[in-house]
Amino acid sequence: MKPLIEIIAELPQQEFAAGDFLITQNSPPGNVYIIASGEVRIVKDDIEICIVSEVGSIFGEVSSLTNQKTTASVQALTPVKAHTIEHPMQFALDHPVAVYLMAVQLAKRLSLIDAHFAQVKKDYQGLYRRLSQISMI
Amino acid sequence: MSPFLQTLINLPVKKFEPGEVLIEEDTVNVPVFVLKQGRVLITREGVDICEVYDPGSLFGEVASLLDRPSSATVKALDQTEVYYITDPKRFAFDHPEALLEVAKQLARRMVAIDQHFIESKNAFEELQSQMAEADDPIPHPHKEDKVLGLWMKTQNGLVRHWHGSHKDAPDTHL
Repeated sequence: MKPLIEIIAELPQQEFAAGDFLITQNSPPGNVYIIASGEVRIVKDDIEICIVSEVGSIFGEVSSLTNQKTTASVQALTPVKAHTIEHPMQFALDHPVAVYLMAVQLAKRLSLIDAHFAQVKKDYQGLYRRLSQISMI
Repeated sequence: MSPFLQTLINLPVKKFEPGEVLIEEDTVNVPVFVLKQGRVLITREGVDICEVYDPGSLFGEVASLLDRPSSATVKALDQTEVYYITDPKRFAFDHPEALLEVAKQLARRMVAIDQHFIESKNAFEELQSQMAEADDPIPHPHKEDKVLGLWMKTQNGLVRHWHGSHKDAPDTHL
């Protein structure tokens, strides 16, 4: 099996100027991008979520997997080079090693947000209990 | 039968009686189970999270991908049959279409819980402002209904999070 780094290196590269959008929120699923160089920001409902400059960061994969519209925009802050996967589902079947690593990333994000969410739920329960007590009085 | 379930038909099947535990919380090296038929209850730290009955639902896949102990308990509510994957990594590489289905389920759950997380945060903030009102001597006749409504919202979201794996998006046939 070919190592992932070689698979990615063989993908076509696209260049974006600062200010260009790699992905616009609420678009149908399209290309998946893997950052080769540069810095992007993630914007959701006009609110900046975070800035990403890590080489190898993947964008657009969730929308491809769920076959739903993109949930955020990705905008170049500097000139950006990105490896482009034009047919993500076919690519996935051809390269299980890439899907496996992506699944690991998704699982990590899922357990992070799960933990975060559990905390909000606990806070919420505490608040709910206190409010019930007040209502009873 | 979905293309995903078809890749599983040669796997060993395990049967569980009502009340039997499929996966115990905080266990290392859990196998991956795929629901064939039946109904299970997911609990975490003694709290009921939701029931799952959709064939094709995965259990133990996050623990397996991350090499971590299981984060929830899965208990049979009815007679339940599951496909049993003892070597998930090897199975994944031998069956790219099954692996892709796993990634799809994870992505759907992430979208569902992301959305739900935002809703819960909003509900939480609304509840906090209700708290401020509770100290207010002016009576609010519908206050308890409203608080109950907010509470239900957080509960429903959790169910969606787990069931989101199957119900939120149509299967994109490969």
